Amino acid sequence: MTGGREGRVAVTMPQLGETVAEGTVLRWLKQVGEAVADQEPLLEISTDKVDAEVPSPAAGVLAEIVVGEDETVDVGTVLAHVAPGAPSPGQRAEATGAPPVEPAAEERSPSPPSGERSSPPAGGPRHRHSPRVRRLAHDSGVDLASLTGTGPAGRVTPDDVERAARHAAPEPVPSPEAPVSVPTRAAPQRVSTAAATEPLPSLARSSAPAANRAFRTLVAEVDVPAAQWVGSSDQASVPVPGSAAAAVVAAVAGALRSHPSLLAPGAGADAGDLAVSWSTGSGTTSCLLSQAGELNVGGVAQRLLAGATAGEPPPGAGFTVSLLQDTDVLFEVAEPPPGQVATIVFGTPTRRVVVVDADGSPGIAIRQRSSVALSHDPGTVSREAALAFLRDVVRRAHSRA
Amino acid sequence: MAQLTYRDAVARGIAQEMRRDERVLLVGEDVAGAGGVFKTTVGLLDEFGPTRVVDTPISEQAILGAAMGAAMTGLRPVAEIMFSDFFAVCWDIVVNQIAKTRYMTGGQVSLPLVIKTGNGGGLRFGAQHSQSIENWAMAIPGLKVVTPSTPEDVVGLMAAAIRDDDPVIFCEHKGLYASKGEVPDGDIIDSLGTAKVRRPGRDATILSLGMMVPRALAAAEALAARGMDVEVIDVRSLVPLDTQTILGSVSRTGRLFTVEENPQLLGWGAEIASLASDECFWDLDGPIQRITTPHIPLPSADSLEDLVMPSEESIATTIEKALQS
Repeated sequence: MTGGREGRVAVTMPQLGETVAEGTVLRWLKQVGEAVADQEPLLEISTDKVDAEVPSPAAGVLAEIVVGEDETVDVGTVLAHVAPGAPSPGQRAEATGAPPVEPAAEERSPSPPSGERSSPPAGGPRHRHSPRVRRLAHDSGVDLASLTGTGPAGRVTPDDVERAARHAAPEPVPSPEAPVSVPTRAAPQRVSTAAATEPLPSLARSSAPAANRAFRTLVAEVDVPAAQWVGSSDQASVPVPGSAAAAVVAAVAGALRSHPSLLAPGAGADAGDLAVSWSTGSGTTSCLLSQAGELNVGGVAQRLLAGATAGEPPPGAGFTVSLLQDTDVLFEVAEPPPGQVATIVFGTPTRRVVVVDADGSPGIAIRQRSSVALSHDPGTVSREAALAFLRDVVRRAHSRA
Repeated sequence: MAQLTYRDAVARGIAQEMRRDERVLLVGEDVAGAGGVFKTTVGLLDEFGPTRVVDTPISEQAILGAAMGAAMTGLRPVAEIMFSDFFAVCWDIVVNQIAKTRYMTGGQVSLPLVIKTGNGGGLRFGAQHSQSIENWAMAIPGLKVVTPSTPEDVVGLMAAAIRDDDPVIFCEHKGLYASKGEVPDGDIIDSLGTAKVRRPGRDATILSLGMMVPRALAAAEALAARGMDVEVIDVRSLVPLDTQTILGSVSRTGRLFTVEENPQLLGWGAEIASLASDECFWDLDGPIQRITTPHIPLPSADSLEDLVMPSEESIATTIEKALQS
């Protein structure tokens, strides 16, 4: 078939931006022989700058497709021809040169209901997701294509993602490996993965019953401010966390706001109390921070000072952070407390030699650093979600160091 | 605690500071004998006398020139530009002199100066007497810009502005002068650069300023009746800006709307929308939307002025549509 038949209207590749010279046909939304309304989208195209729909220049029938899907042509190239006027069986036959593949013309309305076009192909890109939804899905490892949106027009809402994250099927428990031993001075690993079936006793929870739950631990390192970690204060009878410790606690609190799937179920993104515990000469001291995600470092430091109480943290917290106080211990693998799905233990900061980027070439620097050991229940928290959370903690801690 | 009108709160705030600090004085057209054309300075002449409460000729350049000189010599003047539209006739002194003195003297000379002004529309004053000029002022480095929406905030922010060592443009909304509110007894000292959450909510954040605050609050109540729980923030201070309160709220709700009594082009909401897209992009659950006046001078006819100003109804309708699409 050739174009240019009398009465037909040519559809050309549009000029979408001054510097765009060519475009690619992504998908035909109409097939040859189908009725099309004036300005109704005929096809989707892609250029260097934008993806766009090309509307029909006239009402009638799509008479001929000249450029097929995935073909790239110059701006101005004829893509198709539309035969103006109401569709008729004869027209269709003439146009296609083949029996119509669709049901008889009289069953079709001249302008298809818009719902026909808006129903997306399976897994198609029709639904756009907001940045918040995409971030939540990414952080919690939820596949957006698998969700049915409950928002307006079927949009996936943040609540939909969080619900899916909570109900995600438990992952298979990683095969047990040799329990992690605590190395005294091993080369620090940037991020290492360890699976343990026998949790090591934690300083903070040495008296906790051995539930023997399986959990997984990811360990990273963070720069911390060269300030007091845990030490004495005029305002407290026990050693309390200083501003270096407050900085990493604030990093965790901030990251939890973006990663609510790491909180104990039911804690809620804002309502989750953050338990912080550290050991002192006479035992464990702890503090429960409510609304910790709203606080800056100074606020966290003040609340830790004001709220320090002898003993283990009370139950009911959404997440627990432990602060080690032993420079001989590189990191500690601790079991999440009962009811919680994850916990973090920060190692005592020490000065370490690190390789840094100095104007493009490697250099050596001395940094004050801590280990961050994130242990989590693999049945509730995916490895991807845990890793995303850990990275967020490190990023936030670095922005404060 | 007493009920006070917004206009009486202006006089109370100035009087509070004049009693405390004898360097504070007031200059402007009809601010002394007449008590201000909007009656915002009633009683000040009687209490503080003609050397500290000074009527001037009708010359905005003279008013601000005198105030700038007074500030340079160590006084802390409050100058009135009767209608904020008239900043246009003294803009050189504001922009090229007052705003730049600290910078161009290497910090040797600061100007502790407040320029109070009747701002905003809604009173059928027409295109030349109804503009909201916060946008003009906030574009100039060296100026601070505040707009209170309640009598209590008028007193506290006036005190904060007078105590500040740099020039502050203090926008009083003319449409709020007759509004009343509870004002605590005793001295009130607020802080520049702080926003206030007037109504907490979880579904969206609405930023508003001046007379748009009560309208946004009314719209929020209408939306609550339709099942949408929106947070209303009174921005109060554009420079400095309370980004912590504003962006914290946006991060929590995921939606941002601004209600501005100015044309959309380069309105204050554009700056905050830009900040939000920089700082809260991954928290946003939908497009940022700004509710403003159209890009036209404000009409004086009642029906037309009402049509172009954001109203309780237009605010609620816009937000409802956005939240449900």
